[in-house]
Amino acid sequence: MTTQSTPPVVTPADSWHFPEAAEHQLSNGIRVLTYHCPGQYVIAASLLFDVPLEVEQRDKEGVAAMTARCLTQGAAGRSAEEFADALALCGADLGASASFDGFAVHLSTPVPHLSSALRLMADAVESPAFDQQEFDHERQLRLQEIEQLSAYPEHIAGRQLNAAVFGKSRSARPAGGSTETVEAIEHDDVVTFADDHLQPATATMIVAGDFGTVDPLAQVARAFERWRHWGRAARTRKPVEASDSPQVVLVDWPDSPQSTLRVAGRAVTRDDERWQPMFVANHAVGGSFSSRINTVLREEKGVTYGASSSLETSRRSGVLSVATAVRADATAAAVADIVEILTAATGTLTDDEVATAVRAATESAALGFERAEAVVSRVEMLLAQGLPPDSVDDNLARLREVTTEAANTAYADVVRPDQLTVVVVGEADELRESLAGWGYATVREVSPEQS
Amino acid sequence: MTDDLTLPLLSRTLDNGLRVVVSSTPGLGVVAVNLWYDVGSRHEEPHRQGFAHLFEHLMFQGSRHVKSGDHFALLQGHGAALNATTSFDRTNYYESMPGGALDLALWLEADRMAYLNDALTQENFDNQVDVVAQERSQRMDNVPYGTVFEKALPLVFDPGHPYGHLPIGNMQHLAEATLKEVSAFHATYYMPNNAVLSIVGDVTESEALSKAEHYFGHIPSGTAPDRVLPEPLPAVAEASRLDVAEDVPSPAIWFALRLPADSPTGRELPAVGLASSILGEGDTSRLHRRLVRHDQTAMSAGLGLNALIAGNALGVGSVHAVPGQDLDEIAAVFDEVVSRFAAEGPTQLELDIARAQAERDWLDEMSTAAGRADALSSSALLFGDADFLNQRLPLLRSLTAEEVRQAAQVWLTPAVNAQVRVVPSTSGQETERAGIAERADAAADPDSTGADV
Repeated sequence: MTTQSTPPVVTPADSWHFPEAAEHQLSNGIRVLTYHCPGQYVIAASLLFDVPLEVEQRDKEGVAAMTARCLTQGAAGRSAEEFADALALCGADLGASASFDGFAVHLSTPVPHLSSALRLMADAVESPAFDQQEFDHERQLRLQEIEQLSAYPEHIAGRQLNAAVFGKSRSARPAGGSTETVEAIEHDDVVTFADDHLQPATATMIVAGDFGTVDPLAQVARAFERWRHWGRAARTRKPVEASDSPQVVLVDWPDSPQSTLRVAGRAVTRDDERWQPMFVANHAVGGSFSSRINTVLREEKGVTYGASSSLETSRRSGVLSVATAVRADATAAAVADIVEILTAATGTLTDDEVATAVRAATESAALGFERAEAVVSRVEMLLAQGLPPDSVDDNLARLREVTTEAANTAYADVVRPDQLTVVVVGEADELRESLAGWGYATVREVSPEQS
Repeated sequence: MTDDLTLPLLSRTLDNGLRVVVSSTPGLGVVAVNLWYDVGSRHEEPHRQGFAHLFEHLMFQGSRHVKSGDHFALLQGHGAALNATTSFDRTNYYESMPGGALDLALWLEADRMAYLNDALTQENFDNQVDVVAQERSQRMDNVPYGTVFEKALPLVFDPGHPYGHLPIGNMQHLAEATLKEVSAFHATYYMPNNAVLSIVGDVTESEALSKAEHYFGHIPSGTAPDRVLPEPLPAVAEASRLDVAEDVPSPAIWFALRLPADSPTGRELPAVGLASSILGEGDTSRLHRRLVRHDQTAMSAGLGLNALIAGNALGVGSVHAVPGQDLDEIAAVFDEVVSRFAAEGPTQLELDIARAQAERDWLDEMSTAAGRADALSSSALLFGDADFLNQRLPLLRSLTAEEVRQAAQVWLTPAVNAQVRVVPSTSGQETERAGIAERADAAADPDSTGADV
């Protein structure tokens, strides 16, 4: 028997559906969404609080992230070390994070330890110790982290991109604050933040895993239902506008063998009716290994290990963002190539590209949501961005219907290749002339810390 | 799989020597294919360091019936997630996809196993040499501390030892390589009887086996190289140290350790693994608690191991000092913590935590078809039988406090470690302290999974 010379036919996937939520509300107001995922013996949970980052004072930005750090450093009579030991004995991980759209506490634990792990999670949320010494140490670690991260070109590129794209809004600045603002944060600020903003009324508990031997709702209720606390009402969210002027930002990085590049422009939020066709268009342009951007920069020119584009969204903003790192002497050509590819894509997406992108996006769903953690993560993101938690199937259905024409129309409507923000982190002495010569926009040189 | 922590599996060997392992979990809509070839950086010629990894890249540049780039394009176009990695002991190719794309995946893998040479071109070769150079740049040369471990490795393995260099290898060696060498490498290592194929997920056992036979059965077996393993070496005889100054934001120490080799039923490396986990994994670990929490002289401290089979395995540790802290003092504390553990052994609480962590790690690994497939391929290729996988957890649970203590005493104490101390250079350029020799060769990523496509 010899091999066939053409690829075997792929049979269509059985119709797949996002797990269905069982929804309840606890008597204290916490909304609970549970998702049975057969075979997932590590249960994932997220307690999401509807707290936008704008609640922070400008001069103390990072207090939400500090609160997140301190939340797990001791609770309900246990010291930080005792608390860590208790979690570790369950084989559980507990952490918290503050993002632009919400504050979330994340737990993962093997099924047999669900009850104990949820108890620890509730302890952290309801009665965190907020010990002064732990706070002092966490702040010190955060300040050290800020300094350390500044030595990584990828980090600098991301930070400078946000600053350039988002201008004066909160999104322009790091979620965890800057050296200046974190230095100003005091222990009482963390206590106050938790007191004001972590409350049952604004909380949704999302849990996914194999519930064959446990009752997740009963467990969540046992751990959380007695929590009574009232904080402040959430402030309304301000609109966020991404830049619509062409910019080139050059950050000097002496002696670097590569330049780290970012190219970004306004796109759409997930609730926009152009979301699905834009998603498909992005896949073709830069969202896969075989996309136009990666094919040119990596497979044809060999100037990079990889180049890709993605649609970055929050509740109030959507940006199309290209990321790569290229051989230093190929920098100016690479940024020009990226902008040229984004420009040329207008109206030229082919039937094959669109059909492939639609298939790639829709047929990967079972795989994309194989793990309980992926289910929780998606629901959390949808809620944080103000979307219905049960909209995954609808999104897939709309993706399946995207035509070549729709993808081209959406892309032409949304993407402004002449209004992009370009960030280059590389050896300025070698690059400023060629970037200026490219002529996309006046080159603005900034030092790594500046924004 | 059931939740009693074992994975059902079925093993068969085709007539041409291809070992096939199947684990069926019907109904979840996902199938994983995973191929391990018995060749890694340890098999490389001394003047071709990095060749196995470069070869891995070339496997995506087409074969007799497949155009360059189509392996990715076709599979991703049907919703698959895929990649490949090269490490010291093996090269791994994997893809996960909806069940309907299984045949496509197997056909693609079989075509490049059998017929890669038909598609090799100088242009593709030159292109991938460039791409690998950028991979090295991005992961190592343009990242603080990115090249430290490659400097530590030669302190525990001689340059000529199979583990004396890292999978990313030497860019100059690759630039001098030829297409003929690529064909020869394929002929030497890429044959059905030098590989394990695992198929896991939403496919029945009989269907998986019959598809494996259908797509791979026709490929002729070859003469597989004998598995030549170097003599096991003891822990290094005396501690050694290298000082370097680099463009880094704070001082740091990297530790390298020569450990006993991984083996199917051996207890020594697993005991070392528990010891290193208690000492340096996570925020309940001794090193974290002492250096980061109590002394607050470090921002992070960790210790882990790389389970290898050729005579020895590899231990790696690091401490990132708070800027301005004295590395001599930090190294002394590191040594003190490890020495105390080697003298006293773990507490019952620490053993309980280590066991809970081992179970958790297992469950994480088993939570995806891809994870299960990789674990099966590993056991089958490295140990000769996939079933050893299910003996791992029981073995770990059976380790005693005394075994763990002894393992630390023999393999982890200060007397047997090698250190590279990195301090921020003042001028922003790499410098060396006078009198300390430094290896010029490139090497890579301390991560055992080496490099992805």
